[in-house]
Amino acid sequence: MTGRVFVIAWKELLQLRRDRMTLAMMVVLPILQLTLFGYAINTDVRHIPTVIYDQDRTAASRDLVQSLLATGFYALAGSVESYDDISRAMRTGAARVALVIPPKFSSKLSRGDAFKVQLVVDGSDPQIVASATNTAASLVGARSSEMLLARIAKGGGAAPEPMTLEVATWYNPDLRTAVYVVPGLIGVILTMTMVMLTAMAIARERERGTLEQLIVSPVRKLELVVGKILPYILMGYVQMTLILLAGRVIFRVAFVGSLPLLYAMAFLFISANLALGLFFSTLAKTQQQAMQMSFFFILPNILLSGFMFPFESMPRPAQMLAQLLPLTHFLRIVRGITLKGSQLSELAPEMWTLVLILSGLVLLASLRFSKKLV
Amino acid sequence: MNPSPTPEWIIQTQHLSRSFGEFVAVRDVSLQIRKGEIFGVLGPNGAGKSTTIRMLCGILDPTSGGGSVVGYDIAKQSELIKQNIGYMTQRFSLYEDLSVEENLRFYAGIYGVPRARRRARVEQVLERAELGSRRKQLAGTLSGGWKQRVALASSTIHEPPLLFLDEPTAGVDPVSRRDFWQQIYKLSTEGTTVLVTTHYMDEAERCHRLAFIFRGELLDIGTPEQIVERRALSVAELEVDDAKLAAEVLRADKRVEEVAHYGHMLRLATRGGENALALAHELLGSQALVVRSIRETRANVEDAFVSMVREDQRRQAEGVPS
Repeated sequence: MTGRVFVIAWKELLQLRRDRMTLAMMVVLPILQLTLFGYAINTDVRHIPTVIYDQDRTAASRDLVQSLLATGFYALAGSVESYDDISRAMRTGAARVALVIPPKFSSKLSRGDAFKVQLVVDGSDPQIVASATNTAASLVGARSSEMLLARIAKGGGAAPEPMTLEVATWYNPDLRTAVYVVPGLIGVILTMTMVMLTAMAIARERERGTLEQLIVSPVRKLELVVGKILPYILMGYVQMTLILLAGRVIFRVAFVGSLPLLYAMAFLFISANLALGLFFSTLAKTQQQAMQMSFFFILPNILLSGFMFPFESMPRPAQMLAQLLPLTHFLRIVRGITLKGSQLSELAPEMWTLVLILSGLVLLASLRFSKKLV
Repeated sequence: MNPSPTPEWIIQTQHLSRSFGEFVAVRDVSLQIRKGEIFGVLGPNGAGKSTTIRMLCGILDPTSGGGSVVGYDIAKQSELIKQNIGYMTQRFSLYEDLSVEENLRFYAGIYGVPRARRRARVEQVLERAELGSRRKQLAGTLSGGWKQRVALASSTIHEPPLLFLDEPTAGVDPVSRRDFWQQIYKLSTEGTTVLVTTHYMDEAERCHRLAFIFRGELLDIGTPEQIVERRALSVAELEVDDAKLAAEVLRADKRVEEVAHYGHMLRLATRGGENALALAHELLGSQALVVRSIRETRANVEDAFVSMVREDQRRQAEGVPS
């Protein structure tokens, strides 16, 4: 019974070894994409989820928060009580930015003392950092000038600048795009190769007629599916390791989180993609069709998952669609683990969503994949 | 062929039928196949041969009717049937990027040949099919005849008592076909039952027994001799100067069953007690066509086959008002 699974897996590996093109593609693709995407992506961001740590709690502090939200660049994601809360919100992905208003903000403001308002930014996404800090800085700057002008009008001195914005970037202080792109690329590459390779591996058997040969053999459906998928799970992990290594060596991206956790989470993601590939293979009659379907699927993944454009800045319908993609959730997981050191408990919601999607796909694929003809 | 005193049926079907929507691919096929015989299934493309085979292999459920293969029910015990049969399709699909030996090892594993015996069994099959020198060659680089050999070796790697061959020699050169049939006879003498579908009439005549399937129906079943006899055909071969005109003249007569060109020769078949030789003299003589030579000859399976299809076509034509 299990013997057959390994016979099929062994055969699949042999074929993979002889297929130099595919093998080369699997190795070259990650490196190529890494360099391509590493620097190319830059976009404007709106609706950045923001938490407010208001240590003053006065009309004046609320006024500052309101004017910040009015710019449209920030979306209120709640209020917090400490820096620990901020850190937690960032690790779960609930917030990307935190505005910290110092105690006695209101009294200092009325007295005209110099003080600082702090903006804490999640640096793991450099695009967000740029947008978030630019907007806040110009807002605070404008406020400050107003106050200065008012003070001069009253006959006060010109210096010092009353209010300044202090930006604190957490998790990726150097704001290097590579740091942000490399983990995301793990998800993108796995989606590309896993979906396409499984879809093609079974379509190839169908196209060449060997599937019929297997159908008349005593091989069970499950044995066939598991045997075919096993080598590709292995390849998925090889690719992932390759990207992590390349990221570290070429782009000097340091990872803070737990690698075992990442590899365990990747299993869910890889399986979801394989199930999807299997589903495509039940629809495709030829390898070419399988390939086309895979490409059709990969494009929205790159555009909507949050890999290329930040999820928060996408319109609602696109966000809803993106929620269905395994990549969207895996990206949050992989970035959380590698860049912010997120723990399992903090990633649980994303993990369960991924489990849900995986179960749906497995069900779909096994319903469609029939060992009887017609 | 010597029928065994107590015939043991390895395949039995009763009123086997299969429809695809409105289309009836196989209609009411009942047949019995004896252990150890080479059984041929003949019929034009789309007659329902492959559908029948697929039902017998347990990969397609019958719409109605049923049967047993190697002692198991085709609808309920298909997984048991699969372990006890070999199956080779029209274009047997080897893994072209695997070597001959790897293909054999793969199928040995798939068919559950015990790990300990796998290597020995592969060696045995390689030797038997004289494939030893090509064991490391990728299957995709083999010529048609060699592929056929590997395919047959693969589908018999688990020593099945019953072997299905669905147009196994389509597109293979005559010498390779002859070699292939040599192997089939070898298997048959060792006790393997072989069910083969074919378009080649010379192959049909090599079978112990034949079944004619047309439009999904079983038209006749028996030894090649019985089938030919039952058609009661009279056949003559004649050489005439103007073969084209002669053929037209002959075809115009209702008593003529079939006229076919063979190079310079015409092959004339008649039915219903009409003597082909006499009829040719009568019809061509009246048109003053010179007959260079004429001789009576034995009807063969092809004549019988064509005659059966023609009869069906005539019946269809009469049934449908023009």
